[in-house]
Formats: sequence, C-alpha cells, structure tokens
Amino acid sequence: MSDMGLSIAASGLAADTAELDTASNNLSNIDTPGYASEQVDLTPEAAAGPLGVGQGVVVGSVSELTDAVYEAGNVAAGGVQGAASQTSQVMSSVESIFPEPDATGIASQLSTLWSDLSTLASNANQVGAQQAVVGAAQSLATSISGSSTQLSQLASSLQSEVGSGAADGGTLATANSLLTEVAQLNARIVAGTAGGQDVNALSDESRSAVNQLASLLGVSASTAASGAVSVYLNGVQLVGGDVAQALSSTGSAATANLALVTANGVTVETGGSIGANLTAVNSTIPGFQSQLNSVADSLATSLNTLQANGLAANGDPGSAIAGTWTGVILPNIFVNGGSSTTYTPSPADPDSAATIAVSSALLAAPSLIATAAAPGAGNSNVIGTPTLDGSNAQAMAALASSATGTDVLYQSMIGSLGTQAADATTASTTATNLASTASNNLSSISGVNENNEEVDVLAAQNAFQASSQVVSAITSCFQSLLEAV
Amino acid sequence: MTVSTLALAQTLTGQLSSQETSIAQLQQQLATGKSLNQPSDNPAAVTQVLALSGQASQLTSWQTNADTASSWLGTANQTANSALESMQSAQSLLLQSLNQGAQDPTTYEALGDQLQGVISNLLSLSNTQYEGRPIFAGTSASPQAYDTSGNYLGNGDVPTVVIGPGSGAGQTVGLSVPGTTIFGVGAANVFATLTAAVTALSSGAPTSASLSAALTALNANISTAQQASAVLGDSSQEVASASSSLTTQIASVQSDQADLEDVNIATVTTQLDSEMTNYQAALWAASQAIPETLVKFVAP
Repeated sequence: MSDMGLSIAASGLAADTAELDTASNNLSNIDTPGYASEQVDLTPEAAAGPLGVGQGVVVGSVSELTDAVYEAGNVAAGGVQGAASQTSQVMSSVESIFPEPDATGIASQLSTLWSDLSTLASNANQVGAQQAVVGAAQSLATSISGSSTQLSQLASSLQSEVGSGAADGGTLATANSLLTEVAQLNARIVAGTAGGQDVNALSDESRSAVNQLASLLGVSASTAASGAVSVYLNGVQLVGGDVAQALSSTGSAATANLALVTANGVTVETGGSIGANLTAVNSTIPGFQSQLNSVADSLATSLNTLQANGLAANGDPGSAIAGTWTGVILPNIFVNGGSSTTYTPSPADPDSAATIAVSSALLAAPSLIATAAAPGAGNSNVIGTPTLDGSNAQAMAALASSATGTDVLYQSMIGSLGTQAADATTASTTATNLASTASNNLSSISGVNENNEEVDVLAAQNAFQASSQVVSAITSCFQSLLEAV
Repeated sequence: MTVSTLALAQTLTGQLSSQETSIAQLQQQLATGKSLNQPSDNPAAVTQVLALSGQASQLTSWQTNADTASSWLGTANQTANSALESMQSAQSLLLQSLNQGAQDPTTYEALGDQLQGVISNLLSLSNTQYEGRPIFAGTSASPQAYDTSGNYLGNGDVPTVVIGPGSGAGQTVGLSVPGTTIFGVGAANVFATLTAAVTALSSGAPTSASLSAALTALNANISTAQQASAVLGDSSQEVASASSSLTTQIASVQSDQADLEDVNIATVTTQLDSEMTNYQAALWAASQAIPETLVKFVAP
C-alpha cells in the first residue's frame, strides 16, 4: 500500500472512462444496421497484501453482446422475407397485366365478340354487323398478344434486375461486392484479433453485409473462433476466410433457364429476392404464358374451324368445303407467328398467344366471315350463291357457353393467378412478421436501449466523481503527512 | 428482456404501415364501389364473377334475339292475316260469281277486275320487308320473295335466331316462314289459282266447272295459309315465354354478380371508421412513446 490507494482510484477512473466511452459509442450507433451493443468487461483486481483489500478494477476488453442462435435465425428469416416480398411484388405486376374483373379485361372482350357474332347471325349481310365482329376479334387478339408480350417484358426486366453478376447495377453485382466485402473483412478481423486490436466494428460491418446477402440470396453464415465469417448458399461455400467466390448468371428469361453459377462453374440453388426473380422468370411467368397460349389456341382453333366449314353471305366457301371452287376461299379469322394465312397453336409455336392477330384478308373484307352453314341436309345453301343463313354465326356465338371453351380456360387462368397472388401476399406478410420477430429476438440481446445506456452513463458519471473524491482525499492525506513530517 | 430503441421504432412503423395498407384497401373499395378490384382480392369470387358476367352477356344476346324475333314474327303474323283476309275476299267473289248463275259479260269482267286487285294486294303482301329484308324469302339473299308474275324467288329454309341454351347452337326459333307455306307451292300457289280465275272471268263467259275448280284450289290455298298462320302464332308464343324467362334470369344473374363484387357501403364505412380510429391511436402512441426516454428527465 505504497500509494495510499491512489492507483486503486486511478483504476476506477479508467474503468469509468471505458464505461462512458462504450455507452457513448452504443448511443452513437443506436440506428446502425448490424451494430451489436457493446459492454466493458470488468474484473476486480485480487488483493496483493495480507489485509485482503482488493487492488481496484481491471478493464478487460470491450465485448459485443451477441447470440449465435438468434443471429442465424435473423439471417434465415431475412432470406425468407427477401424471397417472399419479391415474389409478392412480381405477382402484383403480373396481376396488373390482367385487370379483372373489369370492363376492359379479356373476359369482357370475349363476351363482346360472342354477342357481336349473335347479332351477325340475324344480320348476315349487313356491313355494320360484320365490321363489329371483325373489330371485336381484333381488339381481343390485341389484348391477348399485348398481355403475352407484357409477361415477356416483365420476365426480361426481372432478369436485368438480377443482372449478369458483373458490375452492371444488378442485384447479383451487389451480392458479389458484398461477398468480396465479407472476405476482405475476414482478413482484417483475423489479423486484428491476432494483433490484439478491437475488431468489434469490423464484425458489425460483416454482420450487416451478411444480413444484406441473406435478403438477396438467402445465404447462411457461421463465425469461426478466429472471428472469420463463412458464407454458404445451400451448402456451397461462397466466402471462406479471405476468399470470395463471385456468382454469375447463365441462361435467359427467353429460354426460362436463368440460373446462378459460381466461379468454379457449380450451379447453386438460391433463395432471397434473387431466388424469387429466378423462380418468377423460369416457372411462374412461363406458366401464365402457357395458360394464355391455351386461351389463344382455343379461341383461334375453334373459330377458324367453323370459318373453314361455312359460307360467307356472298356464297364464298371456307377452305374445308371449297372442293373444286375456283373463286375466293374464305381466309382464317385468326393467324399468328407472322403468317398472314395460318394459325399455329402451341407447342408447335411456343409464342402462339404473343403474335395472335386477325388475318389481314378479313380485316380488308369483313364480309368474308362464314355466317352460313355448309351446304347439306337441313338447308338449301349452295357454294357461290348468296345466302342470309346465319346458322354458322350462331354456332360461333354458341362457343360462349362451351364447357371447355375459351371463356372457361381464361377464367381458370385468372383463378390461378388470383390464388397465387393472394398466397404470395399472405406469405410476404407472414415472412415480414417472422423477420420482425427474429430481429426483435436478436435485438433483445444485441440492441441498444437508450434508457439502459443513459443509466450506465449516470452510474459511470457518479462513480467517476466518487473516484475523483477519493483521489482528492488521498492527495489531502499526503499533504497533511508531508506537512507533518 | 431488453427492448432496443431501434426495435421499438421499427415495431411502431411496421404497425403504422400495415394499418395504412388496410385503410388504402378500404378506400379503394369505397372509391370504385367494388370489393373485387384485382384477382387476388378473392380468387374464387373473381372467377365466379367472370363466369356470371359471361352468362349475363349471353342471356342479354338471347334477349336481343328474342326481341328481334318478336318484331319479325309480329310483322309476319300481321301480313299472314292480311293475306288470309284477301284470300277470303277472293273466295267470296268466286262464290258470288258461281251462285248468281249466268250473268252478262260485263259483270264477269268487273268481278275479274276485282280479283286482279286481290292478286296485286297479295303480291305486295308477299313481298313485305322487315329492315330491308323480304320476310317470306327464307334465307335467300333475293331482294324480293315473289316476282310480278307470282313466281317464288326465295328458298325453303326458315331464318332462325337462338333464344336460349340447347343442343348445337342452342334453342332456335323461326323468324318467319318461307313464302311457299303461306301462298302455296309452284303452279298450285294462290297467284296461279287466282290468275286462272281472272282469265276465266275476263273471257266474259266462264264455265261453272272452271269457277268451281278455281274455288276448290283457293280453298286449299286458304287452308295452307291458315296452317302457316298457326305456326307463326306458336313461334310468337314461344318467343314471348322465352323472353319473359330471360328477363328473370338476367335479373337473377346480375344480382348474384352484384352480391359478389359490389361493396356493402355500410360495412366498409364502418370498417374504415374503426381502422381510422386505430390508426390515430397508433399515431398518438408513436408520438408519445418515441421521444420519452430518460434523457428528457436528466438535468443537463
């Protein structure tokens, strides 16, 4: 007890200063993503002398308050939420392409076509009725092909949102730079720890990068004893030590085979928002396109077949019944694939809906609609003789109530679209709640609470003042002693 | 358990944004008057609404067809009845000339002239048009049903419209009847019958055999026309009953559709009101909770 407790008071002052620094740092980072609250590890210095009086306090290190289980849970929940909220956004984009139920939707345009055909049946040779049918068919074809094209455009914009992985502003480029950042931080953390430096700030940065990676890709992470963070994506290691594997995308939206490969050429399954984009591009959107193809195929095939087997009001025959007729033969109603005469359904034409249109010959001469039935029993129609028979137009209009017709196909497509969109919204809400629970759990350990820090500040302040008093008391004791000697 | 200040703020903002979402949805429902604004609002109901609106459109088409049929049949019925009256007046002229015994030639010629007038009247009736189309020409595109000599220019098909569900194109009803079913076929038609009678009378000394033959033929023509008139009447009744049933069905389908997609204003207004109250409470809580920390109470 050579300095009358002055060194003990000094250790208290040092501890209080460390407490104040830490509380101040915690408060400064109250809103910093990835920041884990820090605390000063204090231990009492053991007694040196026979009296058993302790020798003050030792400031160990400043440690982070973290919990590996909660952190892993937070990273996993972040991945699920990234995927769910992106899927929900994609589905609402798809939904906005099909505004139903609405007077401008495809369902309503189909009804218009059927009712115009019904009117044409009793006005077979009236130009107005013929033009109404051709006009309704044309706007329907435009809507169907427009919707199909919009779906393709959505897929390609989702692809460019992901990007190639090179620095093209895509989310994959962001993910790659985050992977590199984690690897670089690992190198500094390992070196810093070996050199006895405080690496808490580096860990915070690394944690923030991993959280962003989780949201983008759905990665998982583990921290080694050295402090280095390893990042895995479905079992494939993307960051190990100071080495990061860059990801790049292969395939394309057009061929529905967009995928991620590592620099080693390993294809990886991915989650997160990038995974959601891949799923949308490779399966969700192509699924709707194929349903839309069925709608277009059903419409074009059924109407073209009736058109081929009927007579126009002027007696011109459809292609199936023309026989040796040498005059005008009725054109198809619907064509596609750039042809001006034929319609090729899917799968022969995988983009059958995208290019559906009314044939130019019919647009030029709406009177070439086959309103009358083919010559046969029950009618006195003759090829080449004008007729006001409307029974073929009636058969066309009757497609409206076909149990397997275009309307039913379209309705089932809208039903499945609605169900998927509603499910995506629910999944997104659930994932958001789970992510918020996971983040609250983590923040119950790692979060900064303003009141707690304020209490720490006050306590440290009081203790500092008390230690100062001790120093002052000891000083005055010394002085008395010196004066007395 | 520590509640971090950041988590507290995030929970509050999360709560507020979820309330804002439901308020926006309710406001959209009120603004559009529809509870179904996109397929995901209620996928099953949207599919049903699409089916119902397709059905409503088809029922409306059938209703329009029934109205068309009703106008056609009205004209056809009226014309057939006028034709029958003309034939019956010809019948009484022929009976008159048979029963009065031998007359002087001018009387016969005058009767012949009157019959000639009946022929012209029947010809003009046979060429009656509806919306520019001769109603007794069948499905033929000929601009006239009969030429001036009384030859049939149309065909034997009945023009039809669909007025309800059924096999093939649906339940069809005839708009009219071919001219031959009212005025008779070929050389036995009413024009030929009356022209023969006119020829006999114009000679000034018709044999009673020729007049009897003309009367017999005319009686056959009248019975044919009566059958045609009955067919037209049956069709009219079929159309009227279909039309009234279509009106009921359309109303029922439209009401089903409205039940599914229209907003119940009272319910939604109440929901909006309660959401707004909750929202305001949450806002108030946020304004109170966030600034209240120990810092406020520690003297500087």
